[in-house]
Amino acid sequence: MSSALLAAALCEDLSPGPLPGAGVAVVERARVSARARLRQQGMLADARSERWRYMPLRALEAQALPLAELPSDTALAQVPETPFPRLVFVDGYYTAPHSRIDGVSAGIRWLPLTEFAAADWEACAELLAPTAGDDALDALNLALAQGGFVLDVPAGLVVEQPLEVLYFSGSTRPTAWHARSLVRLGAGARLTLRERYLGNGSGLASVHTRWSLGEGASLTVLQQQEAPADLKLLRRDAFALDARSHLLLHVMELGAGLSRQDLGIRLAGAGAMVELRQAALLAGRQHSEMMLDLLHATGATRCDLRCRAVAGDRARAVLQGAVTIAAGADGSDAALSTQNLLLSEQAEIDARPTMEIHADEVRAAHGASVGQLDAGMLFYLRTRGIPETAARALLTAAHCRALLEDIAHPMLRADAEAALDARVGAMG
Amino acid sequence: MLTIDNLHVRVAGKEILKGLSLTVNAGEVHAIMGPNGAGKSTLGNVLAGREGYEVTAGVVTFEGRNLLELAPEERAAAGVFLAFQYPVEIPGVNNTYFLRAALNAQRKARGEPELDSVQFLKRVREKLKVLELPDALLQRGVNEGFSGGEKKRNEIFQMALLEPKLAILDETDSGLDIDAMRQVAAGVNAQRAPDRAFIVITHYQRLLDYIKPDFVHVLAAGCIAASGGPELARMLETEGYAGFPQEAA
Ligand SMILES: Nc1ncnc2c1ncn2[C@@H]1O[C@H](COP(=O)(O)OP(=O)(O)O)[C@@H](O)[C@H]1O
Ligand SMILES: [Mg+2]
Repeated sequence: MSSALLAAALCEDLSPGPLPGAGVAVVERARVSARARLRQQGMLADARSERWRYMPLRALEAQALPLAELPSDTALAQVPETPFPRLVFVDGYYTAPHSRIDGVSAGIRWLPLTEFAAADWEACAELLAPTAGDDALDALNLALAQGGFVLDVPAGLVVEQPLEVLYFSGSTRPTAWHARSLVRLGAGARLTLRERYLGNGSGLASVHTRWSLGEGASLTVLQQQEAPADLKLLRRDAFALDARSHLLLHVMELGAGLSRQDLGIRLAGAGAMVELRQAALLAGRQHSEMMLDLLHATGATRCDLRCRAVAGDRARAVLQGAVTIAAGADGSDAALSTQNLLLSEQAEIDARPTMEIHADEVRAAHGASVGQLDAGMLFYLRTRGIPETAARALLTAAHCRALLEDIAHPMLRADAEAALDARVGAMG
Repeated sequence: MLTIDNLHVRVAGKEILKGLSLTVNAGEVHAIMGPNGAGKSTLGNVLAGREGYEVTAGVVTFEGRNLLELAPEERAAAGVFLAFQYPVEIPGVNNTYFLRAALNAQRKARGEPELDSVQFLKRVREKLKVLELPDALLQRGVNEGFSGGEKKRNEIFQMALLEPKLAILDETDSGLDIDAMRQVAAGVNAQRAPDRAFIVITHYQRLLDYIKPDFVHVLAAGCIAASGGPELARMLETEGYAGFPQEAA
């Protein structure tokens, strides 16, 4: 096997202890078959594949990392507080003292994998099935996930208070950790969930989440990625939307030296709608990419996707993938716009998602632009006394801030804006 | 306060200002009038430090300093303010945040203490009243979605807040109805002071009925072609700029 990463993952000696669901037959079977897939594939990804062409795969595969150990007290002490009910995972490990799930609305089922009973695994079969793309990355995540949770919001329940899932990376020795989760909203349910990545650790993490929205359900997800610079973060999210359901997905890519998100969205029922607001702010040698696979599987579905990347220094932002309107998905409406800002000559932005339309009577809009900071705006700010570096930072943040406008919850929005400003400030 | 001596400026390879000289003392109001394309905005932009305006000859001194050496933000801190002919919309930069950042950056550069948010807001409210601008504008992006008149009044509001020593108003009257013009003039007149000077660039004489200039200059073909008192403006109103050299198209 030429991937040191996978070889280490398959080596039982590098595992610090039992994984959740050990001894539960369905779980063990799924893990055995995931390991078999890993062995068979040999590499995390095919370097010749168009879908992975921008990824520095060689560096990734070369990392022979042990699985993370239980977090140290030092790491645990650094986990910040939040006012929301939340689950906290430190290096993939669920940490009950930092988590707070007792305050959530009655009827919600919200459990970390480590607290699953055998029957819970039976009820969460999707967790053990591949998440979009039956590939080595998914097998790796399935075989080794220590972290993760299931969140069920029953039909009709409106959860007013935002919930939070915090993934904290605290191991200063490079390690690997994985989390695998399932979020299901029943018909008409409403939920706002913030997913945050923080810490000061290093290594590799994979976080796979499968989301399903029942008829008329409404889900707001805010993924605020402020992972440490030494973490390589591979996220995979698969959303399935039933009729008339609505997803508002905010993605902020601010941290992690290397990050990739595979984002699969399936608009399965008529009237389903997704709005994506993705902002990536990159500096140094950061590399961030999104692989988008959005399918209008049926007619009268809508997507409105807005992505904005800012790259300075030698950073690289990538947006790949496709919005596909399947045959028969007539009357669908798709809008995709990318507006990017290059702050340095060595930075690179590759934004070339495509639209594939196989249906009739669809509305499709597709716009892309790459530019620099507006000289007129910069001059205006400076004539008012704002120094050049500060003026540049203001305009850089403003480029992304426009995407945060429809975060309805005031505290979530304020936090998101503060994270943006802090990032811009640190970029200099 | 300001001395411009034999200023030559090239823009995009073309000479626009061709030996302009002008002296402005503290407490004075100078009106600069002239046909379209004469170089009035070019003068304002050069004084504010815009990139792309190449000074090929001449000297500009502001309070004893070589103005042309300073970055735009240094000129602002030194007390130079330009009210833009076309104020720029900056979506995503909150107006209140912007004003406070600007004011405090200038104060910091001058070694003055920064204002806290209570002091700042008190000052903002006072000045807003003079210009009859709604508070709600403060919550928007800079100039974002402002009407033409609101943008112009916002420029004067910024001037009132920043309290410059020299304010250059570039056609602040154009596009304003009579009420808005009165508000703008009230904003300017409220700021008139013995230690403050104004350069009021305008195409029409109308504004000068409300802001009484001490001197009126005609800028034509890149030079000051005539200077006088308020009577010069009235003469231009009846006779136009036909008697002055026009820029070859
Ligand atoms: N940024 C620029 N690029 C090219 N030409 C310019 C620029 N700014 C001004 N000019 C030219 O300079 C001349 C003077 O313009 P301007 O100073 O705006 O005149 P005014 O304000 O008196 O109407 C015009 O011929 C105009 O086309
Ligand atoms: Mg002009």
